[in-house]
Amino acid sequence: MIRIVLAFLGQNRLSTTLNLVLLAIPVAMLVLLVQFTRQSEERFLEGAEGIDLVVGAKGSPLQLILSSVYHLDRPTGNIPLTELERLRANPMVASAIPLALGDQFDGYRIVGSEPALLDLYDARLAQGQVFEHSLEAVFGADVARETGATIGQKFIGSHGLAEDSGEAGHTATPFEVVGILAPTGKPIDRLIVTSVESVWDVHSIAHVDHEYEEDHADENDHADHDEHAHDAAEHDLELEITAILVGYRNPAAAVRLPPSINRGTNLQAASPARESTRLLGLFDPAIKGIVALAVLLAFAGALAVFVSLWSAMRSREPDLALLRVMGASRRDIFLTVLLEGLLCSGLAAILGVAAAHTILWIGAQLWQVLETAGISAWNLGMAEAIIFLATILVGTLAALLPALRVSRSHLASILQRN
Amino acid sequence: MASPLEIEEVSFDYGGPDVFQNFSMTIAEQGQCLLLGPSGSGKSTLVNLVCGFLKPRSGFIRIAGELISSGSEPQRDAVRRRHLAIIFQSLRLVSALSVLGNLQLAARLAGRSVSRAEVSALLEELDIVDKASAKPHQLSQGQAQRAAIARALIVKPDLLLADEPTSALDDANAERVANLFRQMTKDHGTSLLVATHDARLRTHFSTVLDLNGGER
Repeated sequence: MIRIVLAFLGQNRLSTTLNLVLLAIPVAMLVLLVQFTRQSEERFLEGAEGIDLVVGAKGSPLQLILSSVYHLDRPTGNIPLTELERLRANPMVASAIPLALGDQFDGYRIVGSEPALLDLYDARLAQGQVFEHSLEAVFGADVARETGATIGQKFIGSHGLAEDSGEAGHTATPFEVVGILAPTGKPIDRLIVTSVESVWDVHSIAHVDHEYEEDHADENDHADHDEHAHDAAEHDLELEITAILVGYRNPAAAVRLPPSINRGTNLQAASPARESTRLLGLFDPAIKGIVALAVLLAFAGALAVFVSLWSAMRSREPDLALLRVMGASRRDIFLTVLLEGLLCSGLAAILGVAAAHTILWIGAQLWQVLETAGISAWNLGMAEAIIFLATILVGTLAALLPALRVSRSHLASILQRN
Repeated sequence: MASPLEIEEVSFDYGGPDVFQNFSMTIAEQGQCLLLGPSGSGKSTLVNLVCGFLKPRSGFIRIAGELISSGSEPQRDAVRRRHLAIIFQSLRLVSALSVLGNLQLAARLAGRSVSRAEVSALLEELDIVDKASAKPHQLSQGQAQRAAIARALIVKPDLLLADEPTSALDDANAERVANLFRQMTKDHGTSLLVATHDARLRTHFSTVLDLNGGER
């Protein structure tokens, strides 16, 4: 039966091809949409893995998450360094990693933090070593690739978080690349990580006598900055950081810690999971709109298959009558037409899925941003299987009416006409 | 051995006057019969009755001893599949399939498995072995006629029913086709019933049933 159906499909190559394309286009659209939303969502949530809470200056919680976890927005402001120590002393807190933002190099953010930040993102060194002294920096994989940086290379950071911020460079305090990270697929790939005191140093903020500094800095390396430190001290600048990434010690902390910070201090505590879900929810209407459009297109494709099969049945009536004459039953004829719809939609589904993944693959070759967003061409999921089966179902349903019509036609009158 | 075709006291109408009233005829094993009659004489109706596409009001039609005049449609389909091969004037081959594909499909629908050698031998016999891969639209009228005979004979039917096989042919070709039908069915041990208005065929058949002559 498959052979005869394939022969029928091959007989009307043009209309078969058009039907395939008409059905394959919405399939490809749906698959692309599913791939983009699912993979970027996964990548987005992966980026916040291990971070239970972000503590920063009051403002928009979403902005705090975007600036501190994904490094996409401007920070909400600075907070006193003393808050870090206060949090570390809290029994509900397992880990607290500081972030000091404010500078960039070549458009990539320079993040003052601790080596623990690298562990948080599961980042491994591809070359060199982790920063130990002030003004040593480790480059994320994307930064190293795009800037062509090598170990030992010096670079000047500029104030501001964007490449076109127009701020002057900190020429007096050049950084040195001491390590390059392997790709992680997480936000750290696009960061330059250094120590918090490096950030203070380039901004001439005195910190030599501070407890935090004693723990993390090497006095000798700050000799060059003594003068700046002295100047800053004269201006009585308080040591500040931008945000703190917090890991809970136990689940109960999720209930108790955020309200205690939000109500009891001048700080803001925001949950990456909650804010990410809220952000992704903002795209829901747009995604639903595109899905509706693709479903509409799929029905248009199914309608084309229906119209095509309906008109093909009239021209194929003598052939199908001959099959009956040769001994085929009405059921055989019904199944033949149904199988044609099923094969047509099945081929269209394969074509659509293949086209979508080819587009993703070509896109990933052409635009680095897709790779950065975590879009991979070879990531098949359950959604594709559902789209595949739904397409076959729609195509088969489109063939149902022509199949019923032709299988119920009166053979004697067809033979009379022919 | 049951007779390839037995029509017994068959009456039929389309809701108006009788087309057949108590009509009977029989074809003996390996017999060849010409059913002659002009348009409107009931020839096509009789063909449809014999094929089981129409049911008589009364009477019986048996093909190789099995009733095709009554029973459910699937039962009649099965009788047709087992014992009957039909060649219509225009409906000869499935247009989407090659000659070979048509023969294989016919055999499969009849529940027979045929080897490629068997098919080739039959096509060789009909002098169209070089057209095995050709599609019906690539065949001449004569080649298509031969391919249709091959399609019918490959299922080894008890009865071959040919409806107007020569109506569009000139005298020489009509004679050639008539001889071919007679010879091939004889060689393959198949009975033959040709329904036609073509009086030229009368001389080729010893048994002629003239529907115009009132032998209904």
